[in-house]
Amino acid sequence: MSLEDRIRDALQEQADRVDIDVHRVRRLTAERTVGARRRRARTLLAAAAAVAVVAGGVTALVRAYAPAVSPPPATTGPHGLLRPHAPKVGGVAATFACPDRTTVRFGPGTRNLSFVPSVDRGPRWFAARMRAPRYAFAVTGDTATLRLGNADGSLGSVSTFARAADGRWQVVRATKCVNGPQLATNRVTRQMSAPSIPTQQAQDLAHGCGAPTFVDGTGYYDTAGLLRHAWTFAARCPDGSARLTMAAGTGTAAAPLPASGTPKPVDLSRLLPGEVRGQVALWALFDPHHSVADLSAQLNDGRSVAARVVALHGHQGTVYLVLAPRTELARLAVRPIQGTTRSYTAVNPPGWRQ
Amino acid sequence: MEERDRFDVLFHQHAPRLVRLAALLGADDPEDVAAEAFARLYAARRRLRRDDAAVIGYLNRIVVNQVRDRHRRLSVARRDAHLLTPPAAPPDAIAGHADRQAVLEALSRLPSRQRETMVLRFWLDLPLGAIAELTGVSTGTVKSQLSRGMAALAASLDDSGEEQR
Repeated sequence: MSLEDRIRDALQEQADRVDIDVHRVRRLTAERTVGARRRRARTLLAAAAAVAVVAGGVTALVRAYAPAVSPPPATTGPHGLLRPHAPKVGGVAATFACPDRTTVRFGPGTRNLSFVPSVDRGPRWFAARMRAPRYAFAVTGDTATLRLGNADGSLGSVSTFARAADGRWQVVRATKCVNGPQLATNRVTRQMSAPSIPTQQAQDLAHGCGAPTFVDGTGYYDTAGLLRHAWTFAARCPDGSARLTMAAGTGTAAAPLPASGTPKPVDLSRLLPGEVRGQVALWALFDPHHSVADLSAQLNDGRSVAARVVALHGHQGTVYLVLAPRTELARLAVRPIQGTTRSYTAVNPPGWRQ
Repeated sequence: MEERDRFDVLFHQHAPRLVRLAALLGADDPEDVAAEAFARLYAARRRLRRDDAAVIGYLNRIVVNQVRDRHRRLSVARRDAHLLTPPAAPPDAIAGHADRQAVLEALSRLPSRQRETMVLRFWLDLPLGAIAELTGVSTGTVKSQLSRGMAALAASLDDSGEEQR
Protein backbone atom coordinates (compact mmCIF):
# COMPACT_ATOMS: atom_id res chain seq x y z
CA MET A 1 0.00 0.00 0.00
CA SER A 2 1.36 3.41 -0.93
CA LEU A 3 2.12 6.01 1.69
CA GLU A 4 -0.71 8.16 0.33
CA ASP A 5 -3.20 5.34 0.83
CA ARG A 6 -1.91 4.69 4.33
CA ILE A 7 -2.40 8.35 5.18
CA ARG A 8 -5.90 8.30 3.72
CA ASP A 9 -6.78 5.18 5.71
CA ALA A 10 -5.39 6.58 8.93
CA LEU A 11 -7.19 9.90 8.55
CA GLN A 12 -10.43 8.18 7.64
CA GLU A 13 -10.21 5.94 10.68
CA GLN A 14 -9.52 8.95 12.85
CA ALA A 15 -12.44 10.79 11.28
CA ASP A 16 -14.76 7.82 11.76
CA ARG A 17 -13.99 7.81 15.45
CA VAL A 18 -15.16 11.37 15.96
CA ASP A 19 -18.35 11.41 18.01
CA ILE A 20 -20.70 13.95 16.50
CA ASP A 21 -23.74 15.44 18.14
CA VAL A 22 -25.34 17.18 15.18
CA HIS A 23 -28.11 18.56 17.36
CA ARG A 24 -25.50 20.33 19.48
CA VAL A 25 -23.94 21.84 16.36
CA ARG A 26 -27.35 23.04 15.29
CA ARG A 27 -28.11 24.46 18.73
CA LEU A 28 -24.75 26.26 18.89
CA THR A 29 -25.35 27.64 15.40
CA ALA A 30 -28.83 28.80 16.30
CA GLU A 31 -27.57 30.48 19.48
CA ARG A 32 -25.01 32.42 17.49
CA THR A 33 -27.34 33.43 14.68
CA VAL A 34 -30.18 34.42 17.03
CA GLY A 35 -27.76 36.44 19.15
CA ALA A 36 -26.42 38.20 16.07
CA ARG A 37 -29.93 38.93 14.82
CA ARG A 38 -30.99 40.31 18.18
CA ARG A 39 -27.99 42.62 18.31
CA ARG A 40 -28.66 43.78 14.78
CA ALA A 41 -32.36 44.13 15.49
CA ARG A 42 -31.62 46.27 18.56
CA THR A 43 -29.43 48.55 16.48
CA LEU A 44 -32.01 48.84 13.75
CA LEU A 45 -34.82 49.34 16.24
CA ALA A 46 -32.91 52.15 17.90
CA ALA A 47 -32.35 53.77 14.54
CA ALA A 48 -35.96 53.23 13.65
CA ALA A 49 -37.13 54.81 16.89
CA ALA A 50 -34.97 57.81 16.21
CA VAL A 51 -36.88 58.53 13.07
CA ALA A 52 -40.23 57.73 14.69
CA VAL A 53 -41.11 54.62 12.77
CA VAL A 54 -44.79 53.85 12.95
CA ALA A 55 -45.96 50.81 14.87
CA GLY A 56 -46.51 48.73 11.76
CA GLY A 57 -42.99 49.37 10.63
CA VAL A 58 -41.56 48.20 13.94
CA THR A 59 -43.62 45.04 13.75
CA ALA A 60 -42.33 44.34 10.30
CA LEU A 61 -38.79 44.97 11.46
CA VAL A 62 -39.12 42.56 14.38
CA ARG A 63 -40.71 39.95 12.12
CA ALA A 64 -37.88 40.32 9.65
CA TYR A 65 -35.40 39.43 12.35
CA ALA A 66 -37.37 36.62 13.91
CA PRO A 67 -35.39 33.39 14.33
CA ALA A 68 -34.86 31.88 10.93
CA VAL A 69 -32.89 28.77 11.73
CA SER A 70 -35.25 25.83 11.95
CA PRO A 71 -35.50 24.21 15.37
CA PRO A 72 -33.74 20.91 15.79
CA PRO A 73 -35.81 18.04 14.45
CA ALA A 74 -37.35 15.66 16.96
CA THR A 75 -35.06 12.93 15.80
CA THR A 76 -33.02 11.83 12.83
CA GLY A 77 -33.88 12.36 9.19
CA PRO A 78 -33.44 10.15 6.15
CA HIS A 79 -30.26 9.32 4.26
CA GLY A 80 -28.27 9.47 7.44
CA LEU A 81 -27.88 13.19 6.95
CA LEU A 82 -28.84 14.07 10.47
CA ARG A 83 -27.84 10.81 12.02
CA PRO A 84 -24.57 11.02 13.88
CA HIS A 85 -22.07 8.93 11.96
CA ALA A 86 -20.41 7.83 15.15
CA PRO A 87 -22.65 5.50 17.13
CA LYS A 88 -23.02 5.89 20.85
CA VAL A 89 -21.79 3.16 23.16
CA GLY A 90 -24.27 1.44 25.47
CA GLY A 91 -27.90 2.08 26.21
CA VAL A 92 -29.09 -0.85 24.11
CA ALA A 93 -31.91 -3.02 25.45
CA ALA A 94 -31.10 -6.65 26.23
CA THR A 95 -34.35 -8.01 24.82
CA PHE A 96 -36.25 -7.48 21.61
CA ALA A 97 -39.40 -5.38 21.39
CA CYS A 98 -40.03 -5.97 17.69
CA PRO A 99 -42.77 -8.46 16.81
CA ASP A 100 -40.91 -10.42 14.13
CA ARG A 101 -37.36 -11.69 14.29
CA THR A 102 -35.10 -14.09 12.45
CA THR A 103 -31.91 -15.90 13.40
CA VAL A 104 -29.14 -16.64 10.94
CA ARG A 105 -26.47 -19.18 11.88
CA PHE A 106 -23.18 -18.63 10.11
CA GLY A 107 -21.08 -21.41 8.74
CA PRO A 108 -19.70 -22.77 5.46
CA GLY A 109 -23.20 -23.32 4.05
CA THR A 110 -24.71 -19.99 5.06
CA ARG A 111 -26.53 -18.49 2.12
CA ASN A 112 -28.06 -15.46 3.73
CA LEU A 113 -25.23 -12.98 3.56
CA SER A 114 -27.26 -9.79 3.67
CA PHE A 115 -26.07 -9.16 7.22
CA VAL A 116 -22.73 -10.62 8.25
CA PRO A 117 -21.56 -9.04 11.49
CA SER A 118 -17.84 -8.55 11.97
CA VAL A 119 -15.74 -6.92 14.64
CA ASP A 120 -12.45 -7.35 12.81
CA ARG A 121 -12.13 -3.58 12.67
CA GLY A 122 -13.77 -3.11 16.04
CA PRO A 123 -17.43 -3.10 17.10
CA ARG A 124 -17.61 0.64 16.76
CA TRP A 125 -16.50 0.52 13.14
CA PHE A 126 -19.09 -2.12 12.32
CA ALA A 127 -21.84 -0.23 14.17
CA ALA A 128 -20.94 2.90 12.23
CA ARG A 129 -20.94 0.97 8.98
CA MET A 130 -24.42 -0.32 9.75
CA ARG A 131 -25.39 3.26 10.73
CA ALA A 132 -26.51 2.01 14.11
CA PRO A 133 -27.26 4.87 16.49
CA ARG A 134 -26.13 2.70 19.42
CA TYR A 135 -24.13 -0.43 20.07
CA ALA A 136 -22.94 -2.54 22.99
CA PHE A 137 -20.11 -5.06 22.86
CA ALA A 138 -19.49 -7.53 25.66
CA VAL A 139 -16.88 -10.25 26.01
CA THR A 140 -17.31 -13.27 28.26
CA GLY A 141 -14.37 -15.65 27.99
CA ASP A 142 -14.18 -16.85 24.41
CA THR A 143 -17.62 -15.54 23.50
CA ALA A 144 -18.64 -12.01 22.59
CA THR A 145 -21.95 -10.37 21.78
CA LEU A 146 -22.58 -7.29 19.75
CA ARG A 147 -25.94 -5.58 20.14
CA LEU A 148 -26.94 -2.91 17.66
CA GLY A 149 -29.66 -0.57 18.84
CA ASN A 150 -31.89 2.20 17.63
CA ALA A 151 -31.67 5.76 18.86
CA ASP A 152 -34.31 5.08 21.51
CA GLY A 153 -32.30 2.13 22.84
CA SER A 154 -34.51 -0.60 21.43
CA LEU A 155 -32.66 -3.66 20.28
CA GLY A 156 -32.20 -4.21 16.56
CA SER A 157 -29.90 -7.21 16.44
CA VAL A 158 -27.75 -9.43 18.63
CA SER A 159 -24.73 -11.13 17.11
CA THR A 160 -22.72 -13.80 18.87
CA PHE A 161 -19.04 -14.33 18.18
CA ALA A 162 -16.62 -17.07 19.17
CA ARG A 163 -12.89 -16.60 19.45
CA ALA A 164 -11.10 -18.42 16.64
CA ALA A 165 -7.70 -20.13 16.88
CA ASP A 166 -5.99 -17.03 15.49
CA GLY A 167 -7.58 -14.87 18.18
CA ARG A 168 -10.07 -13.17 15.91
CA TRP A 169 -13.76 -13.03 16.65
CA GLN A 170 -15.76 -15.21 14.29
CA VAL A 171 -19.47 -14.60 13.98
CA VAL A 172 -21.58 -17.60 14.97
CA ARG A 173 -25.16 -16.36 14.73
CA ALA A 174 -27.21 -13.22 14.54
CA THR A 175 -30.79 -12.54 15.56
CA LYS A 176 -32.40 -9.42 14.19
CA CYS A 177 -35.73 -7.68 13.78
CA VAL A 178 -37.39 -8.23 10.41
CA ASN A 179 -40.45 -6.92 8.64
CA GLY A 180 -43.41 -9.22 9.09
CA PRO A 181 -45.63 -10.64 6.38
CA GLN A 182 -48.26 -7.96 6.88
CA LEU A 183 -47.48 -4.31 7.01
CA ALA A 184 -45.11 -4.60 9.90
CA THR A 185 -44.14 -1.08 9.05
CA ASN A 186 -47.40 0.30 10.36
CA ARG A 187 -47.09 -1.61 13.60
CA VAL A 188 -43.61 -0.24 14.09
CA THR A 189 -44.71 3.29 13.45
CA ARG A 190 -47.37 3.01 16.10
CA GLN A 191 -44.87 1.63 18.61
CA MET A 192 -42.34 4.35 18.23
CA SER A 193 -42.52 8.02 17.60
CA ALA A 194 -42.00 8.74 13.93
CA PRO A 195 -39.17 11.07 12.98
CA SER A 196 -39.87 14.48 11.61
CA ILE A 197 -40.95 14.54 8.00
CA PRO A 198 -38.04 15.44 5.71
CA THR A 199 -39.90 18.06 3.74
CA GLN A 200 -36.67 19.71 2.70
CA GLN A 201 -35.39 16.53 1.08
CA ALA A 202 -38.76 16.13 -0.61
CA GLN A 203 -38.42 19.57 -2.16
CA ASP A 204 -34.92 18.74 -3.33
CA LEU A 205 -36.25 15.59 -4.96
CA ALA A 206 -39.14 17.29 -6.68
CA HIS A 207 -36.90 18.04 -9.70
CA GLY A 208 -38.91 20.80 -11.27
CA CYS A 209 -42.31 19.48 -10.28
CA GLY A 210 -44.64 21.36 -8.00
CA ALA A 211 -44.63 21.51 -4.23
CA PRO A 212 -44.49 17.95 -2.88
CA THR A 213 -47.42 16.71 -0.85
CA PHE A 214 -46.62 14.43 2.06
CA VAL A 215 -48.32 11.08 1.54
CA ASP A 216 -47.11 8.65 4.12
CA GLY A 217 -44.37 7.85 6.59
CA THR A 218 -43.72 4.30 7.64
CA GLY A 219 -41.13 2.46 9.64
CA TYR A 220 -39.31 -0.66 8.54
CA TYR A 221 -36.38 -2.79 9.63
CA ASP A 222 -33.20 -2.70 7.58
CA THR A 223 -30.78 -5.58 6.99
CA ALA A 224 -29.22 -5.05 10.43
CA GLY A 225 -32.64 -5.14 12.13
CA LEU A 226 -32.49 -1.42 12.81
CA LEU A 227 -35.55 0.75 12.54
CA ARG A 228 -35.58 3.06 9.53
CA HIS A 229 -38.25 5.27 8.10
CA ALA A 230 -39.48 5.82 4.60
CA TRP A 231 -41.46 8.84 3.49
CA THR A 232 -43.55 9.12 0.40
CA PHE A 233 -44.32 12.37 -1.38
CA ALA A 234 -46.28 13.20 -4.50
CA ALA A 235 -46.05 16.27 -6.69
CA ARG A 236 -47.72 17.52 -9.86
CA CYS A 237 -45.29 18.18 -12.70
CA PRO A 238 -45.52 20.87 -15.40
CA ASP A 239 -46.28 18.29 -18.13
CA GLY A 240 -49.42 17.24 -16.26
CA SER A 241 -48.04 14.01 -14.82
CA ALA A 242 -47.34 13.39 -11.17
CA ARG A 243 -44.11 12.36 -9.50
CA LEU A 244 -43.96 9.96 -6.61
CA THR A 245 -40.89 10.08 -4.41
CA MET A 246 -39.76 7.75 -1.68
CA ALA A 247 -37.09 8.92 0.74
CA ALA A 248 -35.81 6.12 2.92
CA GLY A 249 -32.83 5.42 5.13
CA THR A 250 -31.24 3.50 2.29
CA GLY A 251 -31.66 6.16 -0.36
CA THR A 252 -34.23 7.88 -2.47
CA ALA A 253 -36.17 6.91 -5.54
CA ALA A 254 -38.80 8.54 -7.69
CA ALA A 255 -41.14 7.49 -10.46
CA PRO A 256 -43.50 9.33 -12.80
CA LEU A 257 -47.23 8.70 -12.78
CA PRO A 258 -48.63 9.33 -16.26
CA ALA A 259 -51.61 11.60 -16.69
CA SER A 260 -52.77 10.47 -20.13
CA GLY A 261 -55.36 7.80 -20.86
CA THR A 262 -57.64 6.03 -18.45
CA PRO A 263 -56.22 6.15 -14.94
CA LYS A 264 -54.89 2.72 -14.01
CA PRO A 265 -52.74 1.42 -11.18
CA VAL A 266 -48.98 1.17 -11.62
CA ASP A 267 -46.73 -1.14 -9.61
CA LEU A 268 -44.15 1.09 -7.92
CA SER A 269 -42.75 -1.52 -5.56
CA ARG A 270 -39.29 -0.70 -6.88
CA LEU A 271 -39.45 2.54 -4.90
CA LEU A 272 -39.72 0.64 -1.64
CA PRO A 273 -36.63 0.00 0.48
CA GLY A 274 -35.11 -3.36 -0.47
CA GLU A 275 -35.80 -4.78 2.98
CA VAL A 276 -39.58 -4.66 2.52
CA ARG A 277 -39.99 -5.32 -1.20
CA GLY A 278 -40.33 -9.04 -0.66
CA GLN A 279 -43.23 -8.58 1.73
CA VAL A 280 -45.05 -5.53 0.49
CA ALA A 281 -46.21 -4.28 -2.88
CA LEU A 282 -46.84 -0.61 -3.63
CA TRP A 283 -49.35 0.38 -6.29
CA ALA A 284 -50.22 3.90 -7.29
CA LEU A 285 -52.73 5.61 -9.54
CA PHE A 286 -52.83 9.22 -10.64
CA ASP A 287 -56.23 10.71 -11.42
CA PRO A 288 -55.69 14.17 -12.94
CA HIS A 289 -59.32 14.80 -13.84
CA HIS A 290 -61.10 13.45 -10.76
CA SER A 291 -62.73 10.58 -12.60
CA VAL A 292 -61.91 7.89 -10.02
CA ALA A 293 -63.94 7.23 -6.88
CA ASP A 294 -61.48 4.84 -5.22
CA LEU A 295 -58.72 2.26 -5.63
CA SER A 296 -58.41 -0.86 -3.53
CA ALA A 297 -56.22 -3.95 -3.35
CA GLN A 298 -58.14 -7.21 -3.36
CA LEU A 299 -56.46 -9.98 -1.37
CA ASN A 300 -56.66 -13.72 -2.01
CA ASP A 301 -58.85 -14.33 1.01
CA GLY A 302 -61.46 -11.81 -0.13
CA ARG A 303 -60.36 -8.92 2.04
CA SER A 304 -59.58 -5.58 0.47
CA VAL A 305 -57.18 -2.82 1.37
CA ALA A 306 -58.33 0.70 0.56
CA ALA A 307 -55.86 3.07 -1.05
CA ARG A 308 -54.65 6.18 0.66
CA VAL A 309 -56.06 9.17 -1.19
CA VAL A 310 -53.90 12.23 -1.52
CA ALA A 311 -55.02 15.49 -3.07
CA LEU A 312 -52.02 17.24 -4.56
CA HIS A 313 -51.24 20.83 -3.71
CA GLY A 314 -53.46 23.18 -5.60
CA HIS A 315 -56.11 20.47 -6.16
CA GLN A 316 -54.42 19.49 -9.41
CA GLY A 317 -55.33 15.86 -9.31
CA THR A 318 -55.43 13.00 -6.86
CA VAL A 319 -52.93 10.25 -6.15
CA TYR A 320 -54.10 6.88 -4.84
CA LEU A 321 -51.57 4.67 -3.09
CA VAL A 322 -52.06 1.21 -1.76
CA LEU A 323 -49.63 -0.99 0.15
CA ALA A 324 -50.55 -4.65 0.33
CA PRO A 325 -48.93 -7.94 1.36
CA ARG A 326 -47.20 -9.06 -1.81
CA THR A 327 -47.98 -12.76 -1.59
CA GLU A 328 -51.65 -12.20 -0.73
CA LEU A 329 -52.38 -9.59 -3.37
CA ALA A 330 -54.69 -10.83 -6.12
CA ARG A 331 -55.78 -7.75 -8.06
CA LEU A 332 -56.38 -4.03 -7.99
CA ALA A 333 -59.86 -2.60 -8.33
CA VAL A 334 -60.51 0.91 -9.68
CA ARG A 335 -64.00 2.24 -9.14
CA PRO A 336 -64.70 5.21 -11.43
CA ILE A 337 -67.17 7.94 -10.56
CA GLN A 338 -69.17 6.93 -13.61
CA GLY A 339 -69.23 3.41 -15.04
CA THR A 340 -68.33 -0.01 -13.72
CA THR A 341 -65.40 -1.06 -11.57
CA ARG A 342 -62.27 -1.97 -13.51
CA SER A 343 -60.06 -4.80 -12.29
CA TYR A 344 -56.31 -5.20 -12.85
CA THR A 345 -54.35 -8.36 -12.12
CA ALA A 346 -51.49 -7.74 -9.73
CA VAL A 347 -48.75 -9.32 -11.80
CA ASN A 348 -45.16 -8.52 -11.02
CA PRO A 349 -43.64 -6.54 -13.87
CA PRO A 350 -41.06 -8.20 -16.13
CA GLY A 351 -37.70 -8.46 -14.49
CA TRP A 352 -39.15 -8.23 -11.02
CA ARG A 353 -37.37 -10.40 -8.51
CA GLN A 354 -38.65 -10.91 -5.01
CA MET B 1 -34.84 27.54 -3.14
CA GLU B 2 -34.92 30.21 -0.45
CA GLU B 3 -31.76 31.13 1.45
CA ARG B 4 -33.08 29.66 4.65
CA ASP B 5 -33.95 26.35 3.00
CA ARG B 6 -30.59 26.20 1.26
CA PHE B 7 -28.90 26.90 4.56
CA ASP B 8 -30.76 24.00 6.18
CA VAL B 9 -29.84 21.64 3.35
CA LEU B 10 -26.19 22.64 3.55
CA PHE B 11 -26.26 22.16 7.29
CA HIS B 12 -27.71 18.68 6.98
CA GLN B 13 -25.26 17.72 4.29
CA HIS B 14 -22.06 19.16 5.67
CA ALA B 15 -22.24 19.53 9.44
CA PRO B 16 -20.80 16.07 10.21
CA ARG B 17 -18.05 16.51 7.64
CA LEU B 18 -17.05 19.90 9.02
CA VAL B 19 -16.97 18.54 12.56
CA ARG B 20 -14.66 15.77 11.37
CA LEU B 21 -12.47 18.22 9.49
CA ALA B 22 -12.15 20.38 12.59
CA ALA B 23 -11.31 17.29 14.65
CA LEU B 24 -8.64 16.17 12.19
CA LEU B 25 -7.14 19.65 12.24
CA GLY B 26 -6.90 19.33 16.00
CA ALA B 27 -9.74 21.50 17.26
CA ASP B 28 -10.48 21.24 20.97
CA ASP B 29 -14.21 21.46 20.34
CA PRO B 30 -14.84 20.49 16.70
CA GLU B 31 -18.62 20.86 17.03
CA ASP B 32 -18.19 24.43 18.21
CA VAL B 33 -15.91 25.16 15.25
CA ALA B 34 -18.48 23.73 12.83
CA ALA B 35 -21.22 25.78 14.49
CA GLU B 36 -19.10 28.92 14.11
CA ALA B 37 -18.63 28.13 10.43
CA PHE B 38 -22.37 27.80 9.87
CA ALA B 39 -23.12 30.89 11.93
CA ARG B 40 -20.70 32.88 9.75
CA LEU B 41 -22.21 31.45 6.63
CA TYR B 42 -25.61 32.48 7.93
CA ALA B 43 -24.35 35.98 8.62
CA ALA B 44 -23.00 36.11 5.07
CA ARG B 45 -25.93 34.27 3.54
CA ARG B 46 -25.72 36.17 0.29
CA ARG B 47 -23.02 33.61 -0.43
CA LEU B 48 -25.77 31.00 -0.52
CA ARG B 49 -26.65 32.33 -3.96
CA ARG B 50 -23.35 30.99 -5.25
CA ASP B 51 -22.84 27.43 -6.39
CA ASP B 52 -22.31 24.59 -3.95
CA ALA B 53 -18.56 24.34 -4.50
CA ALA B 54 -18.05 28.00 -3.60
CA VAL B 55 -20.16 27.74 -0.45
CA ILE B 56 -18.48 24.51 0.65
CA GLY B 57 -15.09 26.09 0.03
CA TYR B 58 -16.16 29.02 2.17
CA LEU B 59 -17.20 26.70 5.01
CA ASN B 60 -13.93 24.77 4.78
CA ARG B 61 -11.97 28.00 4.91
CA ILE B 62 -13.78 29.15 8.04
CA VAL B 63 -13.06 25.83 9.74
CA VAL B 64 -9.37 26.00 8.86
CA ASN B 65 -9.09 29.60 10.03
CA GLN B 66 -11.07 28.95 13.18
CA VAL B 67 -8.87 26.04 14.15
CA ARG B 68 -5.77 28.13 13.46
CA ASP B 69 -7.10 31.01 15.58
CA ARG B 70 -7.99 28.74 18.44
CA HIS B 71 -4.59 27.08 18.30
CA ARG B 72 -2.94 30.47 18.46
CA ARG B 73 -4.97 31.37 21.51
CA LEU B 74 -4.08 28.11 23.20
CA SER B 75 -0.51 27.93 22.00
CA VAL B 76 1.01 29.44 25.13
CA ALA B 77 -0.79 27.06 27.42
CA ARG B 78 -0.42 24.03 25.21
CA ARG B 79 2.83 24.59 23.39
CA ASP B 80 3.85 20.98 23.56
CA ALA B 81 0.52 19.39 22.86
CA HIS B 82 0.16 17.17 19.82
CA LEU B 83 -2.89 18.19 17.89
CA LEU B 84 -3.59 14.93 16.18
CA THR B 85 -3.21 12.82 19.26
CA PRO B 86 -4.04 9.26 18.29
CA PRO B 87 -6.68 7.72 20.53
CA ALA B 88 -5.92 4.62 22.54
CA ALA B 89 -6.07 1.43 20.52
CA PRO B 90 -9.23 -0.62 21.07
CA PRO B 91 -8.73 -4.03 22.67
CA ASP B 92 -9.37 -5.81 19.40
CA ALA B 93 -6.67 -3.94 17.54
CA ILE B 94 -5.41 -5.63 14.42
CA ALA B 95 -2.33 -5.17 12.31
CA GLY B 96 -3.93 -2.63 9.99
CA HIS B 97 -5.00 -0.58 12.93
CA ALA B 98 -1.46 -0.55 14.31
CA ASP B 99 -0.21 0.81 11.00
CA ARG B 100 -2.84 3.55 10.98
CA GLN B 101 -1.85 4.41 14.55
CA ALA B 102 1.74 4.77 13.45
CA VAL B 103 0.72 7.03 10.58
CA LEU B 104 -1.40 9.18 12.87
CA GLU B 105 1.43 9.49 15.35
CA ALA B 106 3.77 10.53 12.57
CA LEU B 107 1.21 13.05 11.32
CA SER B 108 0.84 14.48 14.80
CA ARG B 109 4.55 15.26 14.86
CA LEU B 110 4.44 17.35 11.67
CA PRO B 111 4.43 21.15 11.87
CA SER B 112 0.86 22.42 12.00
CA ARG B 113 0.77 23.88 8.45
CA GLN B 114 2.16 20.69 6.95
CA ARG B 115 -0.33 18.60 8.88
CA GLU B 116 -3.15 20.90 7.81
CA THR B 117 -2.13 20.52 4.18
CA MET B 118 -1.94 16.74 4.50
CA VAL B 119 -5.47 16.60 5.96
CA LEU B 120 -6.88 18.79 3.21
CA ARG B 121 -5.12 16.79 0.53
CA PHE B 122 -5.63 13.25 1.77
CA TRP B 123 -8.86 13.43 3.73
CA LEU B 124 -10.79 16.08 1.82
CA ASP B 125 -9.08 15.05 -1.44
CA LEU B 126 -8.78 18.68 -2.45
CA PRO B 127 -6.69 19.59 -5.49
CA LEU B 128 -3.58 21.64 -4.87
CA GLY B 129 -5.16 24.82 -6.20
CA ALA B 130 -8.10 24.53 -3.86
CA ILE B 131 -5.81 23.92 -0.90
CA ALA B 132 -3.80 26.98 -1.85
CA GLU B 133 -6.92 29.11 -2.02
CA LEU B 134 -8.27 27.73 1.22
CA THR B 135 -5.08 28.19 3.20
CA GLY B 136 -4.10 31.50 1.63
CA VAL B 137 -0.76 30.41 0.17
CA SER B 138 0.56 29.75 -3.32
CA THR B 139 0.24 26.41 -5.07
CA GLY B 140 4.00 26.11 -4.92
CA THR B 141 3.92 26.42 -1.14
CA VAL B 142 1.25 23.73 -0.96
CA LYS B 143 3.40 21.43 -3.10
CA SER B 144 6.39 22.14 -0.91
CA GLN B 145 4.45 21.47 2.31
CA LEU B 146 3.08 18.24 0.93
CA SER B 147 6.48 17.12 -0.26
CA ARG B 148 8.13 17.88 3.08
CA GLY B 149 5.27 16.31 4.99
CA MET B 150 5.46 13.12 2.93
CA ALA B 151 9.21 12.93 3.33
CA ALA B 152 8.97 13.42 7.08
CA LEU B 153 6.23 10.83 7.32
CA ALA B 154 8.14 8.31 5.23
CA ALA B 155 11.25 8.80 7.34
CA SER B 156 9.31 8.57 10.55
CA LEU B 157 7.51 5.40 9.51
CA ASP B 158 10.73 3.82 8.27
CA ASP B 159 12.36 4.57 11.62
CA SER B 160 9.50 3.04 13.55
CA GLY B 161 9.62 -0.01 11.30
CA GLU B 162 13.34 -0.44 12.01
CA GLU B 163 12.73 -0.06 15.71
CA GLN B 164 10.11 -2.76 15.58
CA ARG B 165 12.48 -5.08 13.76
